[in-house]
Amino acid sequence: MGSSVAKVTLQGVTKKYGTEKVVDGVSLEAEEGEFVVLLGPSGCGKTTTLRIISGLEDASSGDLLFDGESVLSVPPEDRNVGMVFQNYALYPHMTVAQNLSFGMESRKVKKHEIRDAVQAVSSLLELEHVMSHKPKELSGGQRQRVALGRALIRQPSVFLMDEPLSNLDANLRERMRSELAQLHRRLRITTFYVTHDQGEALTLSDKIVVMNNGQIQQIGTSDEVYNTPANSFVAKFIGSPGMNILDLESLLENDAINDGFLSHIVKILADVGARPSELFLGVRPEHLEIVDAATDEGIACQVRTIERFGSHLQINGVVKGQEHLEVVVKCPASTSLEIEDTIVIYAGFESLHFFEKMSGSRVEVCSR
Amino acid sequence: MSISLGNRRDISDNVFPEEVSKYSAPRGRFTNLIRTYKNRLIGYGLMFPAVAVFVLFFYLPAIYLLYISFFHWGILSSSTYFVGLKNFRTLFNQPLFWHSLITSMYYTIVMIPATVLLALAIALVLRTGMDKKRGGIFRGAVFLPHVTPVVATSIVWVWIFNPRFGLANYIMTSLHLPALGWLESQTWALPAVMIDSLWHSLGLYVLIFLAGLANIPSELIEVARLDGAKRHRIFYRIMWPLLSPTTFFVVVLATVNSWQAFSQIYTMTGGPHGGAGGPAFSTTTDSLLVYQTAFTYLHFSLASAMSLILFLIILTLTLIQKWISDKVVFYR
Repeated sequence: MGSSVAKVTLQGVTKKYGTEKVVDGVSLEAEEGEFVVLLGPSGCGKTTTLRIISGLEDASSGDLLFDGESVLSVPPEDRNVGMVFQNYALYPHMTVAQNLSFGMESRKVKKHEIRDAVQAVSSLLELEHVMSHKPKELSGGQRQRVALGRALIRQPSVFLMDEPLSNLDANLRERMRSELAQLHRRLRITTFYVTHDQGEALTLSDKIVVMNNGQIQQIGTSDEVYNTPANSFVAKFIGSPGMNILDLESLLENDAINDGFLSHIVKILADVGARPSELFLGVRPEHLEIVDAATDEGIACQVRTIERFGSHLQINGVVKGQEHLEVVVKCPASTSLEIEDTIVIYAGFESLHFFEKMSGSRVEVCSR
Repeated sequence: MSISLGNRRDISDNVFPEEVSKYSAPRGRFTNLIRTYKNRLIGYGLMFPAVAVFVLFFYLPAIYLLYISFFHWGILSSSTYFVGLKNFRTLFNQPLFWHSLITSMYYTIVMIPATVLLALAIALVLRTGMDKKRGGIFRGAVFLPHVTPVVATSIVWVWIFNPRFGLANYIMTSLHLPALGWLESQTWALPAVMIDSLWHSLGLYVLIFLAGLANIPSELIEVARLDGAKRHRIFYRIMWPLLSPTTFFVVVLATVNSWQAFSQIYTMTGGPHGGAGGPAFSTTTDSLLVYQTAFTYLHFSLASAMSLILFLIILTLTLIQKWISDKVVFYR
């Protein structure tokens, strides 16, 4: 396998432990040089998928192709993948320089080539002044860079990262995130990046793969998964906080709700032949606005808690008369509100989403 | 442990007096004093049984041993008198003493690498080559000899090494190898004892190595694989250096145990009643000679001097090992 960047294809990849399917029929494609983020909650199978691509884990069924050739029978050392682990996994007894050169030495590359490659990577990642240090003498950010450098030095065809930023503090994480983005723009290596942090996913990715229970929920760009979530899981998982998902049937039974708002929705749903009783209504907290209770139509809610973020307020409330319907609203920091206040919230029809109750999948009501 | 318990209370009393009084009822200076000493008393009280056993059976005899090695010492105190370094001079002029030192050294030099290599190999097989259930059974099987009494199992080994109808020679001849005299041979008596000792002690060392192996993060092995390193390279460049503190511990422990080896030699060699270290003193190690000198020939002061020398040898070896370890052992 050459050092050129590979196109990676997963075809129905499944991994079983006993009878439990940890990865369930995952099919996806990463074009040459694409940055693919595997996003999902803990235990959704994203790390296992990554480990199957690396070869550290075998797939129970399905196929994995690099540039159209199956690599499932190729051992990890021969797949030419570079991997960054969550805890960096630097060799603690070796200096930075030795950590970087170990892989090339293992492959019996000529000495002067190793020297040149170490030189190049250390200057790329600004590690020149710590080359003789041991990992424990490095800061978190430096360790992170060494781990990156060790994976990059062999010019891998595929670059795998397993939550590489999660051990860093918030400020450093943001800086390393933009460094990673820059690095990828320069090197254009096909990258799989596992994270549960949607901020990283939305900012870094060319393509996001949202996973849950071992299955792919949606593949799309940042905009696609945010604006047109394929199901209620993606809707709730993407966004901070996630989308409000409300039972439309319960809302319709509520006398406290201003009829004008809901009847408008019911009418449009009827036009496309959808039954409100079988649907969930979804709306993002940032698309809800607080309107004048006396004059405007909307859903009446009672404020339970108010969280102040400086730039905005996050209000957690419940629909009036239906305590089980929780609503989160993001509104300007200048809004003056008290706990237990009643507010009326409203969102334009274009920012509403509908999901089937049974399957959770998206129902297109009108083109947005 | 208990001392620091007492001290910690002192510090909190002195540094944060207002905090203490805030959370507890106000106390006078006297009650505080009592409380401080009460804590100390509890600490010393808890330490006492262990310290008492140690002082009574270890430190006091050791100091007494040092004392009598400078005396001509009889069981009856009337025959005891100071002789200075005479015991040591006698020893250094005694060929059997030098012979016993060489025998001990031979025993140690063979036992240490054999222990480390075998224990590490078994630990590696148990860790990497077996599933959990079978690994557990084998781990138990390897450890089992270590919990058996040395004397009892050594008697079984005497039977195994019987030159005429023992299992050892049966295996040798069925492999078309020459039958050996084993415990009746000057050359093979000590190796026979070594085999028994290895069998008996290996379980402990395997367990220590297993703990060391479990401490190596699996990601390091995985990343080395992705780096293109083959099995043997992963072992030499990653696992062996990271295991070095464990290996050092095993080497020190094996050294001390080898120099002190006694029960198996006493039981296995020297005729039906044992204890003579034969044939022709071929298994008479330093510790066996100490025993014979003291309890067969009743030269207690000479045996004490010998013990003192044995102690100094082990101490020196350990210090040398520590010095080497500071250069080669990697502590995370």
